[in-house]
Amino acid sequence: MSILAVYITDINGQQLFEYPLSDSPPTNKMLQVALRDASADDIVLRVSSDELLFHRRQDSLDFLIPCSSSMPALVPLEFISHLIKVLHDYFQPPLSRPKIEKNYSTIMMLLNEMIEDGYPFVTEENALRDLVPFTDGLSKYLPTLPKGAASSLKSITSSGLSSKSFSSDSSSMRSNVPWRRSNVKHNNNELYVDIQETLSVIIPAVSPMRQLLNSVNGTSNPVPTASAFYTPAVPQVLAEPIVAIAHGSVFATTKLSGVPDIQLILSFGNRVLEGPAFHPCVRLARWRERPGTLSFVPPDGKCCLLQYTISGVESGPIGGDLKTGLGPMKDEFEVRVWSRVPRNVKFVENLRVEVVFDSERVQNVKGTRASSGEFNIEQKGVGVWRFPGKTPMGWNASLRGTMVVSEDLEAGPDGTVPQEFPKYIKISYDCQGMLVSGTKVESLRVVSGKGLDDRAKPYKGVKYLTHGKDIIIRG
Amino acid sequence: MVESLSKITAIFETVKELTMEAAASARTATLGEDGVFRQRDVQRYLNSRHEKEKLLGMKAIATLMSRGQDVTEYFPDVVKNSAAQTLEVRKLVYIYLLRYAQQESDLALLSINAIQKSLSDQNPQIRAMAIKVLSGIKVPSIVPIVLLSIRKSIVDMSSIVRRAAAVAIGKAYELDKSNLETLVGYLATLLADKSFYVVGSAVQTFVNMCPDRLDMLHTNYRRYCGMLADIDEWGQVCVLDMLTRYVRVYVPKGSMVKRPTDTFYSDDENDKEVEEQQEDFVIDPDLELLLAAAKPLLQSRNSAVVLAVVNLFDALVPEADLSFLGPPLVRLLSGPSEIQYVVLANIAVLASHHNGLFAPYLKYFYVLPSDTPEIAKLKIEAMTLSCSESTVSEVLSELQYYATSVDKFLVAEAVRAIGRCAQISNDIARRCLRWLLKQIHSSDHILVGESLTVIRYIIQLSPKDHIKTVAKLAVALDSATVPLARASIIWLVGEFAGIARYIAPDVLRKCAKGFADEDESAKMQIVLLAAKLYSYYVEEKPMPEEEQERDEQLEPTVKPPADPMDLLFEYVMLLARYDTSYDLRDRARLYKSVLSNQSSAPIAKLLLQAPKPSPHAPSPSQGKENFLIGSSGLVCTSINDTRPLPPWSSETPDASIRDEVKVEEASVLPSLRKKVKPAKPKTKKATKEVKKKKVVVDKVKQEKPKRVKKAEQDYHTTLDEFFGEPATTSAPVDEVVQYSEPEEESESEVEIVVEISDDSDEEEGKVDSSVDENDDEEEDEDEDEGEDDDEEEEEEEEEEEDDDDEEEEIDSQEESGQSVSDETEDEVDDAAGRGLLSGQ
Repeated sequence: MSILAVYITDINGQQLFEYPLSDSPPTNKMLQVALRDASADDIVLRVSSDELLFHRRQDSLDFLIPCSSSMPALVPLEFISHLIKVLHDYFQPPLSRPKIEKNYSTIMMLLNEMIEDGYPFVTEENALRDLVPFTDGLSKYLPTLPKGAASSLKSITSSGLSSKSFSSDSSSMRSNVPWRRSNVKHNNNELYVDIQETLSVIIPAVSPMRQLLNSVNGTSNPVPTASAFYTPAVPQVLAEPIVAIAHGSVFATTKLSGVPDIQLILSFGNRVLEGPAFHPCVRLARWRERPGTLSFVPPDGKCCLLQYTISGVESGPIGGDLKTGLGPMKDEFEVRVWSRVPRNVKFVENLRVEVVFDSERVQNVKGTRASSGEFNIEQKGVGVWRFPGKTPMGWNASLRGTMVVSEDLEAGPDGTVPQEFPKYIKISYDCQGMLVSGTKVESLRVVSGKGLDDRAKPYKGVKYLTHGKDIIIRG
Repeated sequence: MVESLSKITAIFETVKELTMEAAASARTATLGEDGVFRQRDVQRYLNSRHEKEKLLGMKAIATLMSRGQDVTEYFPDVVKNSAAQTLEVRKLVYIYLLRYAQQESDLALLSINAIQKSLSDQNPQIRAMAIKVLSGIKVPSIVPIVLLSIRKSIVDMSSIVRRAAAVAIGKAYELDKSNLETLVGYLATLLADKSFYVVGSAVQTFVNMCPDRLDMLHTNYRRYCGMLADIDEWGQVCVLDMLTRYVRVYVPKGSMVKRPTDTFYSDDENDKEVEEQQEDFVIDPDLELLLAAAKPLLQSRNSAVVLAVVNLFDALVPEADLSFLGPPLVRLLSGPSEIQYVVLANIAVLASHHNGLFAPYLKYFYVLPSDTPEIAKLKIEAMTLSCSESTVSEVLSELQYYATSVDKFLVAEAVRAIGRCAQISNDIARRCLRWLLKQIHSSDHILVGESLTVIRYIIQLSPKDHIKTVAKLAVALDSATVPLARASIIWLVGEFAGIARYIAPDVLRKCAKGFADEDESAKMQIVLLAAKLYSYYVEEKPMPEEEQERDEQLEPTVKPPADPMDLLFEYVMLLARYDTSYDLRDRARLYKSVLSNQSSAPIAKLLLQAPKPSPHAPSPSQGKENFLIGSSGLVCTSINDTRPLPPWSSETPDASIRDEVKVEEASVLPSLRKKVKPAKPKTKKATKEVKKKKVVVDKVKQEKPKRVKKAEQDYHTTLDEFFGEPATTSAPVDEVVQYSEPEEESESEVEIVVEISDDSDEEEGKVDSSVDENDDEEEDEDEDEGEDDDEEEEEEEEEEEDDDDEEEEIDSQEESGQSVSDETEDEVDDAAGRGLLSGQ
């Protein structure tokens, strides 16, 4: 049960870094052969009868970890996650080839601490900061000094910029809290909370019956028209989403001196968290007593306190629908998107709508007319409709067009080639200031903070971010 | 304003510092700027007197190593730096040694001295590093030194060092397997360690070194259950796996037991109900303890831990209600796709074991366009396995959507899944069949092909009920265009030639008409269909056939009107005979010769009318049940090592073997505890005193010559005797003694102290503990104060702790002063840790 080596390569398989852990681990060349032979989706590859390869791509780098076959499958995969987190901590994301090449000695020392006897050993970023000098990434700080950079600079210098201070004090003892590095000192004590939710929604096609009923009622279904910029009112009857799942993460960024003890109370409304997962620093007993209470001594810097999943959330601030068979020839489709009336959100960002069609049957999309934004076919079978910058709330836009059917298609049984329409549309966006699940920070209190100024008010606020990742509307 | 001013000042200060740094390093920062390292330059830097240049030299070496170049030629230059003052240089040298010592074992020995010296460093980190490097250098000749160092480190007062020792034991075993018994003895000490920090690594070594010695865990079992939550995540994975194995061997299996009826409380009318519910799942209290300890780990952020817990429940109490395993597993589906894949593969296996475990979470298995094909396949499988009669319509409509989607890989997978859904009940099978029949007209080849395979499967499950379906298929043949579909339908009709007699001949007639335009695969099936039909025909009317043939020969002109069946068969065979395909012509010849001869009729029957086994449509994950949840074999079959769980043992020893025995720990190495343990903290104290008063040092130095002499004597003693004398660590090789003067100094301090402490153990212990506490306060104020703050919580949590732990507390108090002294630091560690931790 052991990790045999760690390789980092670029996406072409060219080796950038090697760290063998056994006498004769499979070489990168062997691994590349195994990778080439396998289909792109194989996550775990067999290198030999008792050697496996686990790999993951991150920031245009491939991390390859060959292991003996008795290793539980998730240990190397989780280890890669930890390794990437640590490298991000040391060298700032995104990782790149030059960053790896410049920091060979640091990466080597990190791995030397992170793997012992072929098994993950110390993987906490904070603990590693005590063990391996944190020198690089400084140049990143200097040109653009963000808020609080001075303090982080300070902390970097004190924690081991010069190798002298590193060897004399920081390594001389271990912090009593395994995840918090020792002797944390900050000039400006700051504490931020970030809650992010990633939203996945699937809205099924509205059945023709439903559409018909809708138009009979005369509520909103627009009369089919060829007008390019017809922007109908938001339809009132939409299919209910069959899937609406939010994956949430609660991050705390703490830059507090000493050993602060923090209590963060969250409210989730009446929603049920499916299998929440906690950072080891969170006291589970408190959570059990009062769900929503996170009581913890945080590691220095950013950490993910809680991960949760909620299903059955609202479908988010952006809605959309897909209609087909419009126009005089019944060959047009219309995609509409709209932002809902705001709660306390002013805008959404990076709104983008993908119109997906069958690339084998559709040659082109012609006569596209978008009321705003830009529509382009960017890859095979996918047209992307972008709205750069900020999109205000209470807004809508529509896109019409016709799919040109490939000429070499066989005719159907009735002798005609059926008209093609988009299969589904996929909306993605970022929305700051709200969470679809309605999760909120109720209160945050520094219960005790040794080495922290009593008057200090470290809590600087909370940022909510909803990332609409897969909003699928089926046609 | 003021704040920003101070910020700016702070920035300036740092910038100034940085400039100075940069200026200082500019002189030396020329090495390898262009990415090329000339050997001469690197060597010059390595041999430099300046620490900074040494560091640059080592960094160059690190770069070359990372690039995969051979750097053994630098060995002498690198080894020289093994006593470098800068820790960073030293660490890099150590990494170098760990990788190359094997190839230059003689040169590597030069560094052993310096490393050994670090073993007595004040700083536990450095001690830990030393034991790590010492055990990692693969030079067989130093095995005795390694063993000695381990022996010393396992009773180190710092848990960091003991943890490193736990790892070192495994490495020492790899180096020389003949020392197994000794090492197992050391490991037993560490397995019984009080610190959760040590236990995780000790168990990891246990798993690699002696996984079958589960008996070593008896007295630790309950304690591990207690500290499970505090062990680091990687350790948890190992401990959970090992405890799972332990329980299978030593703890009785849970069983259904009838509860004694308590008729006093039950009313007459409820009697029936009560009796039904009285089957109770009873498990051993020790097992229950483990389950209770493991369950909260489902909330770990580390997916490997979650799966280890799931495996534990699946392997130990599969009969129990495991519905709580669902949410943590579906939550993991938000992770990176690699982890999603592994989790889904495990979910698929679990879903087939435990009916309905994931029924409430169907929505999580809906395929998103961003899913990779592998994940999509597993999601479909999980969905299919989890659906029941109440949810099947939901699942079916979803599967039908995939089956008609753009993504080709989804189509085949979804249609097959529909076939598996059809097994739930006849109603559903009928519904599936109706939908599948519609798909035959699709232009999507994959959809049509897969649909027909599934239709065939459903029909073959109960052929008699589906004659109508075959008729429908025959009708569909008129409009089906995909060759594969046509071939498939024709084959199916042929299979039913025996049951549905009236369909097949007509199909053959139609097909014969358009034979020329058919695809080869369809032609092949047409020929086969003709042969099958004819074989039935021949079987029923054997005699006329023979006569007819004779007639033909005798009177060709006055032939009675031939049976249409004969004509049809002849016609098709004729068509095939002149076809362009060799294969087809060969087949036609075969069928013709087999069928034309009366004597070969039985062969023809065997050949053409053999009952086909009903196709097997297993879930793709079937066959993976033998793999453990979370194991690599489950996601990548065809590998050797599966490490199967031991079977439940039928006879288990009494639970009392798991009572915690305090003596055990002491009995492992009695001599060691007596002498070294009190000595260790003393070293610290002694060195402290050295700093304060030079007098002590003088005293020590006076003793020195005597010590060296003794060491020389020891060289000739046996290994065991050698172990008996911990003070002579550096004695095995003469030259070592010579080179390591400073070490001898400190070692001799130890010796003196031991002599003193032997007289007054108890007093010594007390003094030590107070010194330790002072140490901690000096070194890290914050920590100590933090600990004070947590005292309240600690008390609370201690109440929650199991009885066993309380016993342990008392035990440790009852122990002599010796142990008080050596546990002090741990207690500080553990207490703070426990207070801050969740307090499981």
